[in-house]
Amino acid sequence: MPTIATPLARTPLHDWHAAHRARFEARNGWQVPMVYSSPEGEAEEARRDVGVVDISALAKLSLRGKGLAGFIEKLSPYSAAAQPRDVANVRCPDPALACRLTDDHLLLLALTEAPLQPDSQNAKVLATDVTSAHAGFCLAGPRTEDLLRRLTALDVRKAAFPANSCAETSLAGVEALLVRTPELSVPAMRLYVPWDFAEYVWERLLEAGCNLGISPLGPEGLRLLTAS
Amino acid sequence: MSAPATPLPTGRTLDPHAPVLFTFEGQPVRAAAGQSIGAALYASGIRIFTRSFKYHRPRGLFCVSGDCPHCLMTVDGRPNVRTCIEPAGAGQRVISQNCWPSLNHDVLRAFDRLDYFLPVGFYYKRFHKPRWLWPIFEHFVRHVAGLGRIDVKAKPKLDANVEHLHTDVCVIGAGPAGLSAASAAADAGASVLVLEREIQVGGHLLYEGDPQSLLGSLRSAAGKAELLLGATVFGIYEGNLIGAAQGQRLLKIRAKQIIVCTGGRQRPFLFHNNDLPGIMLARGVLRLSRSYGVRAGHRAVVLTDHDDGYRLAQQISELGIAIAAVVDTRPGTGSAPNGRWPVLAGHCLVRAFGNSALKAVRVQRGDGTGPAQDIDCDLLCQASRLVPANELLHQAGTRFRYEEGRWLPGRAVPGILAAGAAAGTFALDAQIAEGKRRGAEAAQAGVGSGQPTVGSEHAAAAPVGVASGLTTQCPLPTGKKQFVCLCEDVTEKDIEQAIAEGFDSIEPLKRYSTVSMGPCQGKMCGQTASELCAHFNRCEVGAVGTTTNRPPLVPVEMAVLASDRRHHPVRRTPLHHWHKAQGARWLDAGQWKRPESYGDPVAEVKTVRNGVGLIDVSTLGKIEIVGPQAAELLDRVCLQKWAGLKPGRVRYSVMCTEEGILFDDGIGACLESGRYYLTASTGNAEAVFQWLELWRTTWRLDATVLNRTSGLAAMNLAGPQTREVLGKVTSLDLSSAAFPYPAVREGEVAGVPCRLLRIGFVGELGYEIHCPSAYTWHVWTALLEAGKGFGIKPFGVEAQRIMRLEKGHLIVGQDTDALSNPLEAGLDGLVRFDKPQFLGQQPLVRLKERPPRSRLVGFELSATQAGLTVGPQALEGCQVVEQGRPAGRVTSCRFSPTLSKYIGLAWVPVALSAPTQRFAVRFSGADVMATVASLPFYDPEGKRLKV
Repeated sequence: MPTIATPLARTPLHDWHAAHRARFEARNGWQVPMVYSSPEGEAEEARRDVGVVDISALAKLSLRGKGLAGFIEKLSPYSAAAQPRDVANVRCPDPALACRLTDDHLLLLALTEAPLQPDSQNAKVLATDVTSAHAGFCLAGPRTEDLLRRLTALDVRKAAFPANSCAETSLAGVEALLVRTPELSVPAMRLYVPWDFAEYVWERLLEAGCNLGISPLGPEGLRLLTAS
Repeated sequence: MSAPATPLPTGRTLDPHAPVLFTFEGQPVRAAAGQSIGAALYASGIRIFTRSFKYHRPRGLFCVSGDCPHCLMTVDGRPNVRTCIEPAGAGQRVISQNCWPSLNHDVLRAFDRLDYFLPVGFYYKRFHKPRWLWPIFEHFVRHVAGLGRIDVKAKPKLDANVEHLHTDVCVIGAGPAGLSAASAAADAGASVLVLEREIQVGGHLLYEGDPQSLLGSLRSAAGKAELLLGATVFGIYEGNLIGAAQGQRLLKIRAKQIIVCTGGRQRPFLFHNNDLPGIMLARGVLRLSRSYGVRAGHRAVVLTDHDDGYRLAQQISELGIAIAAVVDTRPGTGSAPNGRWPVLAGHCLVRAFGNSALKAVRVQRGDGTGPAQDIDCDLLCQASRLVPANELLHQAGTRFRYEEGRWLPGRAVPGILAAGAAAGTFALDAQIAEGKRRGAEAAQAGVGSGQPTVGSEHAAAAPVGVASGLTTQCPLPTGKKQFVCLCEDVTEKDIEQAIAEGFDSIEPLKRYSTVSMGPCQGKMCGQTASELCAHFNRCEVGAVGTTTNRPPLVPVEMAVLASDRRHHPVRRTPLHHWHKAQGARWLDAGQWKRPESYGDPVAEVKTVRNGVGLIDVSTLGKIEIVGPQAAELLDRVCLQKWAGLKPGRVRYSVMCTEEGILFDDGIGACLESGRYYLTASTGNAEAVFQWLELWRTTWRLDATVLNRTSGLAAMNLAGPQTREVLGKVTSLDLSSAAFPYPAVREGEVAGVPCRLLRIGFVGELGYEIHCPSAYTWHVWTALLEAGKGFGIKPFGVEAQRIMRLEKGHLIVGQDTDALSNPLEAGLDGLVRFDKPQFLGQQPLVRLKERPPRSRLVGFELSATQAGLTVGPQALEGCQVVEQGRPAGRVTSCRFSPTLSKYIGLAWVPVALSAPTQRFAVRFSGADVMATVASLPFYDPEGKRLKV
């Protein structure tokens, strides 16, 4: 067998990022678009209006089965537990989210690209790596809700959809999972759509948000928002 | 016509020094910035705005609020624009509708004199005998009657968008009641959204009277509520969903509580020629002046039926319009304030004079005594008593009762409240008090849990005197042209006639006479029609009831309604941009974009048959079934047996519906005991997944069905040299001994963990490689790199379709339809009738017992037919004919480059289905002869698959 380049995974928006001059970096086996112009500038724009980050590379693990009951019982429907520990033998890196989708279905969302793996097999839990099943976007900025109400009928006001809650709904006509995250200095929302709809939804976000000042944001800019 | 220098009370500032120029019928018209098109036309002397629907009578400005049909014109290709409220814009092209040759000289006006031949419902009666006459007449009627024409070539507007809003309380209408309700609800802690169709809050306060201090305090009290101006509500739908249009924006608002504060409106009186230009609603006259700075006339007669008419007369005179007389239809004597105008109390208006503009009106004592009196005037202001504008309450399901000439809300609808004139409250202080009360109730229910009801008490004192509209004009004037419905030219006589013909209850009356079916949707005529119906039936109006109000309440452009549907989600495989860069021609497969070919499908076929090719099949449905009863689920859903399938083995799988109709086919693989992997056809992926979920749930089987379609990509490497290419990038043992046909293996390809299915859809040695979507590009390019020395080429869907046809594989949906069963489709060998239970079992058992009616067979076209001038695909869908009668159809047809002949699949009668039999295909009127061939056409023994 000849030598083959180490496989690098690509997000579904890879070609869009390349066309928009993103600087890629290899992280945990992924080619991640880190920055388009400058992290500071991108963060500034997001802080003023709204920025959108491609977080498709962050690891996701779907857990299904009756073995989850003990964990799920403590979660109210459509909520997401921050920093879950010891879910069905999966070691969750900090910080992660465990979204309760149904009473026997949890979706673990990590904040790094490192794959989530169960430590040992649990016969009552079916773990499936769904990292490349769901493309992920993070919206961050004061106009996040203004943008979302153009694309979904879900009530995304903070009172109705507080931090650490999730909902499966239609976004731009595509089935999507919305998760409100608490960790940033500005309002933020994570959106997950099927991998093959990623480019379509991304284009719709940029189009619907064009008069709201939407701009793409790299993970480095996002980190600046997190820090401030 | 004066243009005031000061800002108007309605929030508009007209600047005569910054004119807007547009054209009307090709002639330039100058408007002050801020004016509506209609106001600017009126100011420039235009009086005829449109021609009526049926009789082509001249019509001019009437309500100036967008309610009536009198000002509809085509603006920049958009038909039926209500020009009285449409803002004038620079460069607009405004043209008239429904007239020929011109608005001022419309020859079709002759219909007005032919009314004897055009009675109510004439198109049900006239010109139907002899029968050939009707189509000609219909064409003519459709041409001369109606509204504007749609520009079918117009490009859709792309700036329309949708916004979804949520609120505890939504107040519709920002008049005194609405503002009070909003402030009370907001003060009680509810989130409040106020929708106002004008560009300024205030409602009728803006036009009538000048209580600026009152409006200011109302406005500031409601400061906490979110206000949307220029937002017109067109419907209330189930679940308290409000539809509204704000310019090009479609608003979908979900409110826990809705307070309807849409105010009241005036409606026309009945008298002969009551539609002449120059006859307006009093509020219209006030709006024209106070919104747009245009004076409606010089000398006016005010026609009223209640005390407030005198106040309106005072207001009109303050606009600089001389009042010739106030005609009060109530019996008894009245007096004008200051005695400035002659008051004709107890008089009714008998008719109006004028050809294309009002010249005079004739009045007479209501009791018929005394001489008729003609009064010269160029303006008639109809100051009729307000009726509630309650259509939205109707839509929401509120029931109404008829009381003192008005429909007032009765039975409560949870979550729907009303305040102000819309609820039948007409005194200003009572409106404010009611608004506050309703606002507090709504907040309590919207934030808390209780459900309030629509209040039934009405603070307004019961007005003295007779009701407005019909009974005011008693004894009823008997002119021929007393229009009830201005949109559809329905006269009072028409209603009488329709009732005499037996259409005597309100809904059939509406449908037969078309009263209230025009653009205004009964805003002007609905109540009058009910009252007339009661009058001619000699019954109570309350017993007649109303017609049903449905959305849209106001005209809404289709572009706005469709704004959240103008995008169609597109699914792209992870290799989309690679295909694009290679010049792929696209094929739309449901939501997916697939490469049909990269230029030359025939060359692509040859590459696969002789060397090696690679196709992106990521669009396949991919489903994993895991659990102790996974095999049981598959056994019951598919036709084959699954329990015996060993790990690592693969099987063609076919599913039927409960009716025994072919539903989908694919490949099933046993990954390990209790773990199966199933592919589904592209268009059916979601349906198959849901089908399995449905039956898993129904039968309560211990299995989990996972939809992996998006998470995994797939590509098919096929051709005689596949093994050499694949061997370069995987350490898997690809020998037939270790990895036979058909089988599944899991292993690394180019360093990526993959699932490989050795199957042969295209009829060559081939491996379908499934990998995580994120690694698709890596695996794909690694395979192409490895295949460089073997002349590897990508191939598209068209080449794949040709090759599967050469192998005689059917495609569900292409070669089958909603009546195709597996026994007749040639899949009878797959059905395991010895299973205890499977979907479609009973119908298939019965079908098996009876001789088949038709069969799906392969066919060849003889060499002489090779001269087809069109592609052989054109034969697809053509009928198979037997003795001149249709007996089947062609489902697939292609030229096979491998076999150098035309081949295809067709449904034919059993009598014609044996190999070498000939049958005829009807194509473009001629018969093309085809010969049944045994399947598959190519490599019948399947040797090439097993190498």
